[in-house]
Amino acid sequence: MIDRVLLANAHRSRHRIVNAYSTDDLLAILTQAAALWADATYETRRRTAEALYSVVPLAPVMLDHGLDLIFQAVTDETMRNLTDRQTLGMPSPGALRSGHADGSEAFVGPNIIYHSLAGNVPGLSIPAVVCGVLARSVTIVRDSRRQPLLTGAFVDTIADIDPLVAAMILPVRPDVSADDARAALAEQDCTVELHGSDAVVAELSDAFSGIPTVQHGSRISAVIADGNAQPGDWAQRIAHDIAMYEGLGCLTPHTVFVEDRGDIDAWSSALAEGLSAYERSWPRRRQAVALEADRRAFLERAEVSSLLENASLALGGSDDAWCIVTSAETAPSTGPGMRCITVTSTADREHTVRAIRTMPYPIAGLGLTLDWADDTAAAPSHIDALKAATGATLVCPAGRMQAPPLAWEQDGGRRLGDLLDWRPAPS
Amino acid sequence: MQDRIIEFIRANPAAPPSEDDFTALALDVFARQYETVPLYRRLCEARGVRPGQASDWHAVPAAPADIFKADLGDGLTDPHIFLSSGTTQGPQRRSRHAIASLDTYRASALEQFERMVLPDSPGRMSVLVLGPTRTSHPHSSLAQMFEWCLSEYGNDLGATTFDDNGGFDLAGAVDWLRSAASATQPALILSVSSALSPVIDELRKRSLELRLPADSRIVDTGGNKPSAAGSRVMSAKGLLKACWRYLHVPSYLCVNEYGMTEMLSQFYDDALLSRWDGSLLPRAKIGPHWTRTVVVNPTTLEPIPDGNVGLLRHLDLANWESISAIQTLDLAETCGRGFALKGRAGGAETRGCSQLLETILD
Repeated sequence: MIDRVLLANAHRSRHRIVNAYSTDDLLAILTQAAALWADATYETRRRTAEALYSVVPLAPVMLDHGLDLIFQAVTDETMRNLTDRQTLGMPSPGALRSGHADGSEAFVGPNIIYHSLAGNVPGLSIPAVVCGVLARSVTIVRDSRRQPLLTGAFVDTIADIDPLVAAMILPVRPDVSADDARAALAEQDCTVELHGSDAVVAELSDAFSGIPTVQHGSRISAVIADGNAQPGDWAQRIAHDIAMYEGLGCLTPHTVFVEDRGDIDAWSSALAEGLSAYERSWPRRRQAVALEADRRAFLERAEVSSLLENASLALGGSDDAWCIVTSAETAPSTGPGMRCITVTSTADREHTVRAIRTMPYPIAGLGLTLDWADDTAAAPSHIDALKAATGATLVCPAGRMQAPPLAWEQDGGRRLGDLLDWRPAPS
Repeated sequence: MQDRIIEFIRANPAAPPSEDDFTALALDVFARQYETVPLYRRLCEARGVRPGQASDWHAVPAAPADIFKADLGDGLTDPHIFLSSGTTQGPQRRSRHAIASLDTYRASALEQFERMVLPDSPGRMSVLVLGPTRTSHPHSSLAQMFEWCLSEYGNDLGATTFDDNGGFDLAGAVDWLRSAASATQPALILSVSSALSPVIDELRKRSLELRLPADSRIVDTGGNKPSAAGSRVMSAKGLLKACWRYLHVPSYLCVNEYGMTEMLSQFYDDALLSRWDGSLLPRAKIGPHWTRTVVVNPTTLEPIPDGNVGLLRHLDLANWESISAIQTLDLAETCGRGFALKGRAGGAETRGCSQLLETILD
């Protein structure tokens, strides 16, 4: 159940924040909290991480690296970039306009934002919390059973800095059902964001019919290796994107398209070295039986295809720690993640785009063997065309796929901008 | 080799051959397959296992079931070829099982059928086949088995419902059942699971609650997948309840079969056998004494303790002409005196006999 007392308290906090806190105030609080969490020696982070080691199926070193990536993405600069980009042409969040016949209005988010998070990767709640605070909305975050603790611990840090802001965020237990959540949202101006597999999202969305809902279902990612790129320069970075979070994130590449009919065997060998190195530093931890069985299905297909096709080669790490299927012609098959990937060749970009469009799920991220600075403004001019052609919402240099910017427009939505509107200011 | 295998199969199930006998034969079969199936030899070499190195049947390398998508019977002249019923990935992804002689398959199929479905020796029965026949599906191993059952155990009232043009005669099936309900000899219904649902739906629609003669029984096979004909997907328990309500066949006379084109032996629910031998163990699927099955951890492929879900691995001596040790993507847990199916790895293709009905109805 969602605690009604805490919920009422969250609404009271929201009223005061809408009326008394500027965006700069909120940015300062969030920046301070994230900076603490970006430091691996911060006591709350250290204790939370130790608790997570035993419940999250990731190598501790990988989890620590993940926490670095998650909180380093939340800075004053990235949050200002978020507010600037996603409120383009609109007032800054929280701006008040008084004197309306019906009272004053504020440019804020809905009364309540409810997030039901997936359990595939840690830290999905952090951008949700950031956007909830900046939108000045009561934000209820239901973590997955597979990724507990982190939201609550981060909110505790915010509470140490400003209890009023923290009170607006309600981390709730994974056993809160959709019906419980629905009851808490009744009659409210609210938005629901659902994360998970297509099946899970479809099931949950039924419970929230009639409420504005943003759905983040099954997605897949890939890397495009330019024909001129050298595997030695890039394989390690691509291996990072594959191994991170055990390949369970929507931004994990499952296929490397080597363009201009490049040397796929060379790419596979270089990737094998990279994955072996990551297996040593981030030993793969076993997942749930169903996921491991899916992975086994991929490994078996890989073994048989390597036996059947002379042009096809499967590379496997010690104890099946990783697997690469190499095929010059085969349409890309998608692994279940967990350090399994297909390397295939294409004739040119047009061919690559066609192959991406036939993948079994919508594409989320594309890694390119091309470097540019984090600043989106520095991105090459053809990126927008590539996004439009493939449907990808994140195109970035390979190696940075698991560190999406805070302003990432996941599934085409603006995670802050879409929340904001002129709403009656709470008195 | 065939004679040895058939002799082994025909051993008295009440006093089956010893574990040592099984192991000796399994290792001989492995040595033969290593020599005669080039693709399997390459797999064994890749895994670093040669016949002389395997000391018991657990050490025989289990090939992924997908290996049957290749032609393993290169050296056979005029082989019998069984093709799987297609998969969700299309007909070109069918498994192919080629054998020189049907004798082993016949011995294997009928011995196990008699043990699991006819332990009470009910005599000749009226057989209805709600599934493929040799005419409608000449490359279906299931059709071959149904045909043998029809001729071995059926009386002259036997009927089939899949016609040569790929049609399923639903009305004919219902008419046959009405007729069988007024007869005295028990009926034996052999069905792909997804063909039972439209029959049950039709009976419900017509408000027909038939009473098949005592000792009538139903054998269904394959998962119950949504039908293109729009019939419901019924759970295993729902199917049992419906068989009782609309056909008056009690659940202990309903037996689900689990088999695959890649294997010439079958597994059956032990419900009927348990009724016969008085066992009180939970319903489980069990294989014949010429097979061994283990549930393995999908990560390590090592056997796992009872009660845990893992992947099924079989060793089937009836497969002596192709590959005996097969690693499947079927999830199961050990249960009673066998195993209970728990689904299929998500990365694997949907497949099986009920897919066959989809192929027909599509």
